[in-house]
Amino acid sequence: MKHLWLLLLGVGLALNPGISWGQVVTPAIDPARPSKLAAASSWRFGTSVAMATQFGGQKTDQQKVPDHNFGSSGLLVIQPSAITIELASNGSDDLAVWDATSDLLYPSSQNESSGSIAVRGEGRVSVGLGGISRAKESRGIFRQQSGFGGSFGFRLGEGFFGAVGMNRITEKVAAVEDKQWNEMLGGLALVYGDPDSSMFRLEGSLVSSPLVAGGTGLETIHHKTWEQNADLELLWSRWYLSAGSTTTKTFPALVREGDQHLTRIRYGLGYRKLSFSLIFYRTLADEQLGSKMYKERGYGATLGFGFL
Amino acid sequence: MASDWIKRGLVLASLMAAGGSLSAQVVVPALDPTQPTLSAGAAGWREGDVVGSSYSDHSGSRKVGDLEVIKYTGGRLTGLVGVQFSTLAVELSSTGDRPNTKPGTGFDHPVTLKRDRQRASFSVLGSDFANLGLRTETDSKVQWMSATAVQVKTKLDKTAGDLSVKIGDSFYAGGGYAKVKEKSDLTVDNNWTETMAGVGLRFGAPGGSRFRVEVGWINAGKAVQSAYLTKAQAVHPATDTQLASLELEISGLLFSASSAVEEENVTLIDPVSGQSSGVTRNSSRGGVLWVPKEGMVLGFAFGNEKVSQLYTETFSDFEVKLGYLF
Repeated sequence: MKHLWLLLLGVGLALNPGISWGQVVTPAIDPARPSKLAAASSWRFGTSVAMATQFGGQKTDQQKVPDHNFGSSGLLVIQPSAITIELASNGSDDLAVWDATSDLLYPSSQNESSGSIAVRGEGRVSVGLGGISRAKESRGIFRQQSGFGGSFGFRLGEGFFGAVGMNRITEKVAAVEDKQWNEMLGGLALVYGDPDSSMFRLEGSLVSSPLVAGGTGLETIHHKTWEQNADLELLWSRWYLSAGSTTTKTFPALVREGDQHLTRIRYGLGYRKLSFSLIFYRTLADEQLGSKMYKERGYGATLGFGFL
Repeated sequence: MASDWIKRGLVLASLMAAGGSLSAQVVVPALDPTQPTLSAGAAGWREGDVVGSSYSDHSGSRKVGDLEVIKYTGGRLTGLVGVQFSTLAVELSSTGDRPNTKPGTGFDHPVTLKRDRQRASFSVLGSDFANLGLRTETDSKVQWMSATAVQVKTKLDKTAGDLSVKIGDSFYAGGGYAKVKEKSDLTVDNNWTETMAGVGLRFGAPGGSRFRVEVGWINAGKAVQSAYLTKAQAVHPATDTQLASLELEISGLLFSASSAVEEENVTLIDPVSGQSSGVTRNSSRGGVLWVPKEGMVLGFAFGNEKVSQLYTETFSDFEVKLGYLF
């Protein structure tokens, strides 16, 4: 058993990026999806290990990137008692990012690792601490972000959950002054049922990040963003169905920029029981700045093993 | 100009020596067991042995008028051990500040480069009625003052005695007296006294629902020592500090809020504009913590601080806490 764990962890962490739709209030029924707030991981259903990968194509009106691997991710959850430890890694070395101003796609790489620890109290409250490290490279600018955060969540009645938290992020880019900002997260969720048979989960959450600008160069700017997430999952006799959306508004920092709206939709279908899950996803993303459009169409899969 | 900023810097250094993360814990310890107490007598009322740590990340700026002259960033690491024997309680804590701000060419503002504090508190416990405490504290600081004083070391040694009395089941009152000695590379040695007093209420038992409120006062006397040979005159102005702390714990989930206002009885004159100013420091904190009766303690806190004098400094910080209650 010990060797199986190490193997699965090794595969998961080596694969890197992919399906990393973070959960703010409660963990997804799909155990492969990481928690954005440490407090959410307290509500997981036991120890698990999972991995995910995603493929797809990207295009604008002028450019097209054929289907390729967006990236992969790995997740390890250790929940021996009221304490939950979650380690996650995701990234991509072969992703194109859209520069809305020039309407061009640029090669990019993104890698993220995170760890958290949370304590659940009397099945009613959860308090967690987390740390995160991100590395992003695009257009010759290498951004190294690190941060830590705290969060707390609560459960009212049988299945009503809430959570709020904050991550304090520091960004280092060569030759410019370090930037710091606070990322605020919060949300509400309804969760009912048994993760080994039938279950229902509905979550809505918000993530906001402020503008930090030390100049007019791209490397000196962290854009203000406002992200809304909605996630609906159903487990019916272990058959899994889900639909979710993430809408991100990126506010302009410079006169030459405009508001950007990115909408990501995902649909999931699969099988899940406590000890095993296999879920397939279809993902659609559209981003808009004025009349300029960016489109992303993808397919993904997650694989999870539970050890309750 | 540089010497003016040096004087202002020393005044601020004196003020900050009394500060740090101030929370009213003069007579009864916070329900947050990872917080160091302000007096040994209060530490004696701890309700179990604890090992605690915290890390905070801060950012801020100094403004002269509307002009931002310094940006601050940095981190602070704190460690704490509190243990109780049959009639003796011991609390040891250490705090290290590591600012990132580095003075550059043409810089003429004092900047703290490094700061370390160690505290040791010993309290004799008297039949659940009174604690008699002894506390020692060392506060070492390295500051950049000017292009000719780039590594100025200042060290404060504080020795304090205090008493905290419990009246009934929930009411606490007490006070203390401290002798402070200051050594600096720039100025002659100085010393002054501090008195503190407080009253507090604490209801509830560990692991259940609890409530605590405390207010406290700290007063430090004025002390002036004349210049001697190569060392400048040492001045420590009189300071008044008011502290308040409020905590509510519901089934192990602790919400806390605290504030501190420090006023320095001094009038500073801007050498350029001639404008006069006092020195005031306002700080507030709020936090959320999981505190079981026994086991892992973890949580986080936010803080804000404003120093108003000839310039204005504002800071904000975010702190994560991790500990274990035995």
